[in-house]
Amino acid sequence: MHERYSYLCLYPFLPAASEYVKESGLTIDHMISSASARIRAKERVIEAIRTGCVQRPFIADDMQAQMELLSYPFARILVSCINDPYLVRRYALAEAKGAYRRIIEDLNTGTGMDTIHKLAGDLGIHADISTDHVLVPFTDYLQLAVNLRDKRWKLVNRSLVRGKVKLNVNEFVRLLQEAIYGRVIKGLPLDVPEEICNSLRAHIEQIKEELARGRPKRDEFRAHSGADPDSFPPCIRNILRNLNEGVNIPHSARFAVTAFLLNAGLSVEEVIELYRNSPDFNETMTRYQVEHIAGVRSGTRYTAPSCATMRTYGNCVGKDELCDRIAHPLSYYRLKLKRRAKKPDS
Amino acid sequence: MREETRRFVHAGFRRYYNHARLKPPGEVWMREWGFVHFDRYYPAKVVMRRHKAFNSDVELINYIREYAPAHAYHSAAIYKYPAAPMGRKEWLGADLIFDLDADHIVSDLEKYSYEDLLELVKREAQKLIGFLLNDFGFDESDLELVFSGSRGYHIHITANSVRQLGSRERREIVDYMTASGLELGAFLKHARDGNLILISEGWGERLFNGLIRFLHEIADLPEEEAIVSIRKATGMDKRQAKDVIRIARDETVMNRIESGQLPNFSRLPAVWTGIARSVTRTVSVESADRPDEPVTSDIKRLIRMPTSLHGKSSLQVKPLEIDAIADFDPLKDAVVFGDSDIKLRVMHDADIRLRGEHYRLEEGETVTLPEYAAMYFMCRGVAELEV
Ligand code: SF4
Repeated sequence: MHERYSYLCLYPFLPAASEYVKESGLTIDHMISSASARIRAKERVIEAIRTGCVQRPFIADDMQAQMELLSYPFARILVSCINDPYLVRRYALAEAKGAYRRIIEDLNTGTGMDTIHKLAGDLGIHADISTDHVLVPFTDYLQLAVNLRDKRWKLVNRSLVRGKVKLNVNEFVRLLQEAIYGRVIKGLPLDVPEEICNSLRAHIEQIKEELARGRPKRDEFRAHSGADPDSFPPCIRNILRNLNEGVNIPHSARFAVTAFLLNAGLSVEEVIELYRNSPDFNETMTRYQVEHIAGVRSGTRYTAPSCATMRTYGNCVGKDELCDRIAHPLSYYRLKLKRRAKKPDS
Repeated sequence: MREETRRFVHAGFRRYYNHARLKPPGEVWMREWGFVHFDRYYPAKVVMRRHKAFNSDVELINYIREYAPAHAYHSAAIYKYPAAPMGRKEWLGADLIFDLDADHIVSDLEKYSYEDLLELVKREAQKLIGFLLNDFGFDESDLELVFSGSRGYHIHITANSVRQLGSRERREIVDYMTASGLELGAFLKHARDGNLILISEGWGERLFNGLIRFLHEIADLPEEEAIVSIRKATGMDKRQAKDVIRIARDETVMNRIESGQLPNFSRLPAVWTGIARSVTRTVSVESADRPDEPVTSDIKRLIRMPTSLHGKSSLQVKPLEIDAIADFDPLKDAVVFGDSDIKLRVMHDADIRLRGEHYRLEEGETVTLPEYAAMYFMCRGVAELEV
């Protein structure tokens, strides 16, 4: 099997991969008529919803490589037809994670360094790669690490010498994952002609079902927690909406919503459930943070931030007239609950 | 400001602009410009005319000569349509700009004289330059250092590599300079023998040097003083402080520390954090790190045009070489006006040292001053032209 081919089919988001598809003269019509690529495309999306990671398969021959390669643009079409922001993010993240895992596996079997070299080049990252560390110009580093929230990724906590950030190889692969995420999500959702979406209806329905299953429901949330999300202030509702759509939200917003919900009577478990939709959900980390805010270990629960603090961090979004009467999101909630209790159907 | 005073100051600015060698920034035509003019409302009501654009350096310079503005600003950003309203300019990139101003650095401005403030802010600017050259690897030629015309310094970096950074990325750079979010643990590695190894790179290097310096100082002090100084820096108790002194005086241990190994320090985490805290305080850049007032992270802000005049001081917004900052005295080197006699009526007490001369004004008196000092006081709004 051609070496370049087997590389591209594992990393089908590379510009060289789409070049390849173009050069080989394959069109959308071909793809749609290629049943195997179509099925593999649907698998990609479903796997993304289910596990959050599109695993790279073992590639046996050229035929399979071609199918793998074609299934990627196809999967993008499927995701675009459904056009759900949560799915878009979830899918992009799962593709990036799949690639990440594959690179790590390659590293363990000894062929990884080669892949890393090639990927960095193909993704346009300026990096000086050697076996024990990687040097990346700080400008590239910042653009890649900006969504990583753990403190160790903050520039101030890195070895920065003469403009280069020093990383170990695994850390660099993590940044490659970020770059890949950016590459996959770019342009999504695509503008797909309606006829094409219609011709794929069967696949799309299956994906939608899967999607509905994977996603916690708003009503369940209410039933379990006894809280009334409709009475939450606009800022909190906005953060929850973002969480639900898998938008990566800043630290200050996470803190605010967690503290608010705990103060409003939700349990630690219930709050963790809310984060499950986050594209980079990590149960151990989330649990640790939520428990910390709940004061499980220290015994002191954090109070939710006031409106002034919310404003300072740009988290006061969608202020309504009730907001003029309060200075704290929790007061908003209490006031609204009272009002609703009086007028049960408003 | 009375009308005669305003006319006089304006005429002075016009004379300056007619002769000065103005230095427009790169890509003049892609920048948004903003001006405050000596119009009839000035300075009671300051109206900033924004969203102006010019096709060339010449066009810009002609405009400035025609209006001789009180304040002239350009965008850090370059836009496709610089004259369009904000939402439709199409941002293409932005210079990386650092704005160090005394009122970001000290909270009780009134306690300091203008001269002292200028010294303080200069020190911060020097630290900032150190970070940019060492940690960030810029060349001196990448940095354009400018005295702000008032109480601070600006540094413009126009390199292509920084132009695309978004505001969160820029915030990370500010955090680096100010040591915000610095975690000591990030620079400690556990060695196989249980000791800690300090990675002496980036902030790790600063912390490391600070630690060594601190321990040497301790070793040289008499026991009692050493205890006091350790307790002040780290907040630990007497017994722990004595442990630190023992380490500081033990040459073999010190040798190992200087080679990057921190023996037993896991038992004394307070030493480490305490020292780190005091090092951080002295070597980080003090800056406006208030979330409501973003400094370099605002990618759409306007910044004073270098070589223009500052309407509230009459001083020049003066570009200077990096290695000239140590000897730079804004109250001498940024003064542009001459020394013909001008008669003023003093409205408020005020004083300043300009060109090495001390001027002290008392409310109600009438004084004759050299033009450069007169311009300063009139721009400050503490004196009117006596006619
Ligand atoms: S005013 Fe307070 S309660 Fe209302 S949206 Fe803003 S932060 Fe939330």
